[in-house]
Amino acid sequence: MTVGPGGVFSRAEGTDEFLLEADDVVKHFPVRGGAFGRSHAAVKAVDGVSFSLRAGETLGLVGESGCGKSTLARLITGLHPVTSGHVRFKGQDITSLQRRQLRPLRRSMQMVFQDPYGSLNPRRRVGSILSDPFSVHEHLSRAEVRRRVQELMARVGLSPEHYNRFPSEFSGGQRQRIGIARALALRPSLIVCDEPVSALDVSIQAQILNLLEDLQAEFMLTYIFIAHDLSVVRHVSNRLAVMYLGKLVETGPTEEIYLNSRHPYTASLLSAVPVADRAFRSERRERIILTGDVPSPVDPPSGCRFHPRCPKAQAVCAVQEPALERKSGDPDGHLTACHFPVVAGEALANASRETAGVTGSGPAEAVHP
Amino acid sequence: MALLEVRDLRVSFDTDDGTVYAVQGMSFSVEAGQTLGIVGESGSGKSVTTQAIMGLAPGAKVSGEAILDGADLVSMSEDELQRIRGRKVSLIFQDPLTSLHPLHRVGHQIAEVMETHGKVARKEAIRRAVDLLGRVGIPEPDKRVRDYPHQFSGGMRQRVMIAMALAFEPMLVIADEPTTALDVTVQAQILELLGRMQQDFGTAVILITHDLGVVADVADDVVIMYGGRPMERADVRSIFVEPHHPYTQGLLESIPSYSGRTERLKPIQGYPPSLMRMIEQCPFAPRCSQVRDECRAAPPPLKPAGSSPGHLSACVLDANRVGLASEQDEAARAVGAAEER
Repeated sequence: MTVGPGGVFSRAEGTDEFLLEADDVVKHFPVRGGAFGRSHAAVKAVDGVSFSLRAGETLGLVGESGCGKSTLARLITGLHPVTSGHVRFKGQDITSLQRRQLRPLRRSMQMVFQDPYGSLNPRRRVGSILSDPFSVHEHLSRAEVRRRVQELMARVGLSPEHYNRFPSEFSGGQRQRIGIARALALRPSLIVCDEPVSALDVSIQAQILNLLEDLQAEFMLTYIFIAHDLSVVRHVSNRLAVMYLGKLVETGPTEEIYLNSRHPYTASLLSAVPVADRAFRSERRERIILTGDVPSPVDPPSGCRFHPRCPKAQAVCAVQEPALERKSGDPDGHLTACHFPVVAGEALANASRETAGVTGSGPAEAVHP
Repeated sequence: MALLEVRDLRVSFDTDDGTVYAVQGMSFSVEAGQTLGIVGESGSGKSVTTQAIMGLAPGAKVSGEAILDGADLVSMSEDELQRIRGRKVSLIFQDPLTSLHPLHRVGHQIAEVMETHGKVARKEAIRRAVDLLGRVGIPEPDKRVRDYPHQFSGGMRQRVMIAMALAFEPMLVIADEPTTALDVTVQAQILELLGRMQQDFGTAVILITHDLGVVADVADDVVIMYGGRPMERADVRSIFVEPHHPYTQGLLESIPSYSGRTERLKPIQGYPPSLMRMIEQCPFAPRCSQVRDECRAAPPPLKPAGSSPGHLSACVLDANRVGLASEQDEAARAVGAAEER
């Protein structure tokens, strides 16, 4: 795999070594019920995902709610144990490690969460919140911790004099800066950002995205960037992974996928995004409106999980699960899990109307002229 | 004549911490059958504006006027407003789960709207509820009327809300962030449905959103709000192609471009103003890169800008200076280079 073009975050060339490898990672959450609380089913949140990431890259992870992207992020950072499969970080299999053995690795893998309100203790001062990483992982004098925390605050654009303030005294954008400072404290090599700008207004969102970009260049960071805003993901990432119901359906260099998406789900997802600058400035892409809702991950559809909503589905799709593989004509590293990948210029929007009647699962708008 | 004409609307709330001046002079109009997008960031006053007009902001002090179909909503009694809400004007909110009663069947809730406003018998009301659910694309509506809200997905619940909102074929639907809680593919379904329903019923829509992409897609006219005031008003094309106000330009330049240009984003520096006091200047002045002394003297009124009729901007800058700032600079450089030759 090579580093694709595009993506402002990561212009640094990746090395040959993989920083992170996920190999057939599975996470099932048991659904308990009945008189004895026995597990009788499982939410198949992540169901066999493999990918690898080089140092300095930014992987954008996209998909709709419930597709398993946040669970995958937590598996990678060792916050959830995997059900099966392996995650290797710097060559070491973290899935087989004990808690204590995992601890030294944890400092090099950090997370930034969506909700800066929910992830900061409202009753603790910012200085105290930010000194936690140092007291857990390093043995420093109080004065030294304070100096390091204030240095950190200044680096993320917070005023070091606000050391003694509470989280509620900061705005949403400033609170996200605190969250980033906390993740950055121990100089990690990987930061998983789970919807880091979704709760922010656009004018503030751009400030945070620029900050993340600067920090990546300065500290040679590798990012996994989860977001539902596909314009943001395109801006920040140079590799993309698209998830649907616990599976990767397409992965590859970001620009390649945006310009030449092969999976019908990716194509529909990208076409559904309302885009301010596209509407009046350039081409108006035809919108593919999918029918129905995402099925339950407790009992996912047979074969290809997307087949009940897919405009191109045929009989084989309901039976045989497609492998994630390179399709003819695609560059190395662009992998698609589909029996009938989209070809350039294909009109899926019309197909979606025709098949909606056949599958019978679609709401009225699909059959409406 | 406009269907709804709002003039100099002001809304304030008394709280323990002092008075919050949420809306400090808002004016806009909605034409029959058209979609007006009200865009603003959190705290800009975009939601409070319509809630105050419809009498849904408890404890609010409201002044100004909002003329709907010849009658002023601001001066109406609660009883009069009650008759207008649901019949002439309906509202759709961001989170349908909090607007639907969790313990009542969906059909019952739609039927209740019809019984309250239309004096329809229960059996007939249920029959019409089934019909409406079918029209908004809910499969097997005759079975689903007996389901409870939690048995519907987020997108389906929003369809139920749209069905309720359209029960009386209102003149105006106010949709406050109707798709913000939904995934993009479901958002596309709901926006398409709203557009189709609008065509079928000839309803005007006020769409309140923070998402410029959604506005570009569905609105005819747009108001950009900031600090409780309108910054710019125009047809949707002018807003995106010839923005005049530095705030509008800043917003447009803050969003990552979808077209794959990967240059650095241009954020608006600083943070939005506090509404705990009356803002006696242009609310955007502290963050504006082109601020002048006169901006700090008083809030500039809306005045014509650009070339299209009806394009108004609350900014003191030259009315003909439209388009994104970065492109203006490029254009200026190009002119300069041509002159040198």
